[in-house]
Amino acid sequence: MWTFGRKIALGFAVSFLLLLGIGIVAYRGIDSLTRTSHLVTHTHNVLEHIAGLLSQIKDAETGQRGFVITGDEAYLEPYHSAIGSTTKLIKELRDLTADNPNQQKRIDTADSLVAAKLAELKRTIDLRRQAGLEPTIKVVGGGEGKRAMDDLRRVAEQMEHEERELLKQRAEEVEAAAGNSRSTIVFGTAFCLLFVSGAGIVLTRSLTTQIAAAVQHVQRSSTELQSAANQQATGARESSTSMNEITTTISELLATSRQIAESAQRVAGIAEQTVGAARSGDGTVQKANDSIVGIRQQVDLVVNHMLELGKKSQQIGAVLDIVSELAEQTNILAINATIEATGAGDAGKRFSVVADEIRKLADRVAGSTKEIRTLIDDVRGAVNTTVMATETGSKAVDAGSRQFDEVASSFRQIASLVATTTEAAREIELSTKQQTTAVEQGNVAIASTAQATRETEASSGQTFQTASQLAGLSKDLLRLVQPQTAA
Amino acid sequence: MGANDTTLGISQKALELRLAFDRAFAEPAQTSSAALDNFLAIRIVADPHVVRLSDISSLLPLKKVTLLPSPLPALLGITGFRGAVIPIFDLRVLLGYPASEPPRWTAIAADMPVGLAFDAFDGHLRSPREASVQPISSELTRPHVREVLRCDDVPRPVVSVFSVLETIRQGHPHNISSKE
Repeated sequence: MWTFGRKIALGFAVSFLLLLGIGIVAYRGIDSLTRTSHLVTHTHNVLEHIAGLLSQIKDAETGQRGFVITGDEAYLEPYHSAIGSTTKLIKELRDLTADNPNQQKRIDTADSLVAAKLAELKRTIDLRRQAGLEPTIKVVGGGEGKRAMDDLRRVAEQMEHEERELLKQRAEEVEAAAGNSRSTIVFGTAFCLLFVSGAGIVLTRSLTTQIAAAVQHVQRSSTELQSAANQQATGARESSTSMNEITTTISELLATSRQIAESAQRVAGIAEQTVGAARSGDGTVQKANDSIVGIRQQVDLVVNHMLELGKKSQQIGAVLDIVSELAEQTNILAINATIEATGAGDAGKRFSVVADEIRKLADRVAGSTKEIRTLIDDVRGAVNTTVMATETGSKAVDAGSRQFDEVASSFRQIASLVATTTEAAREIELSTKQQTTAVEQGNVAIASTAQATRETEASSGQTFQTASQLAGLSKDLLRLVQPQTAA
Repeated sequence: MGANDTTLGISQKALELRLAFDRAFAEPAQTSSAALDNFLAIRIVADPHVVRLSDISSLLPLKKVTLLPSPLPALLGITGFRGAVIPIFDLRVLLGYPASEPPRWTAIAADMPVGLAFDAFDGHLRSPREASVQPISSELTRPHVREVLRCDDVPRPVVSVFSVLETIRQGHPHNISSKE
């Protein structure tokens, strides 16, 4: 699709070309007229020179006749001026008709005729001075002068005739050139007017339609721009509110980050103290482990002693079995002695008493033996319990030792982990400080953004105002290009 | 503390034994023993019984019994005693008890060279004559038991060795295990 500029440029270009053509044609016509006018002037100049030459010859003849008649030298004044002028005129005529060979020939003829006439006049004048009036009249009466004059007049007429013919021909050329120029100017101007009018109508219609569409489009766009600016202003206000809230939140976050940094610093300090305590604990655990090894050895000794005690108790039990059996045997013997004493009658009564005492003693020994056995059993049970308890204690000590090893390992691990924790806490502290710096920068950026949002809100208001003005201008422009549509 | 108490108890017991032993030689001889009955306290299975000491001639642990094939369930076998071979009867079977464990003791009867085997020997009891021995009804007792001795508030049936020996003497298996 052609743009307005191209259409207008095309219209102006065609108009320019038409005007240029008309101008060229007019210029050429005027130039032709000017040249023809120069030629006409030249022809008139030639005619004036021919007439002047003939007049000079007449003046010279008039002065000759006056001198001949009167003998007065004063009448020779025209004759003398003609002698200088004729030469000059013939030379000028020769120059003026340099482009015409026919006229050059005639000028040669005229030059010889002028020379012959001036020679005849000079003879007659000399004759008058020398011979007086009468001989001179006779010579003049011979008609030589008159023939020369007639010939000269004839040549002059021929030259005039040719010049007039040239004049007529140039007048016709002028007329033709003027007619062409006139026709070109009239028709060209008319065509140019028609073209300009048509182009103006077409351009006006096209421009009106397109401008109206564009203006309506601009009007719609202005409305949309108003709506968009309104929305943008609303959004900017909401953004400004959000930015304020974000700024508050970031300030709180900043305070929290600083607290975290301080806490991380404290954690790092505490972790360093914990590392020291863990190392001290590791040493304490190592000492306790050494003590446990000593306890373990003592427990082994106790176990051995208790086992030995158990063996002794068993030996005591074996001895006690013998004692018990002896008591039983004694008892049986006493009973049997009693039986025997009873069978012996009165003689056996005293023996019976002794036997009874022996039996009682045996009973008591048996009872004591039972008690001792009970005690020995208790002792053995206690020894077994102690051995078991000691073994359990030994196992517990072993387990404790292993647990102490694990505790020592755990302490070392704790120390290592706490060292890692210290490092992590320092990294957290550093990161939190960096985060604090970043949050401060973010806060500054948010503040700048809030300022930008406020400026955006203001510019949105200006945009809305500008869009309103643009809508008004569009309406005015539409009213200008399409009043009926605008109305 | 417990060990000290135990040591004190044992020392006290030893002192009491020594005192009793010394007292036996210090006190005058008791001649009133004729008024006392002597009993041998035994245990058949788990029940306490007594046998009159006058009914037996000797008490000895039952070490080795040579088994004999016999139609009498109460006859355990024979054993040697003071150069003689005597039969050993199971008193538990004779009294109608089940015989599970081998008996550990035997009492030699005074009237007849026969050993009566039982489980345990508790000791020698002495009680005033006719004071604490009471008859019991025959329906409630086992065979060969007619009396009960109350000593230290513990009733102990009195096994009649005479009755047992009478049964053995009759020698009939049905008589010996008539109550089984």
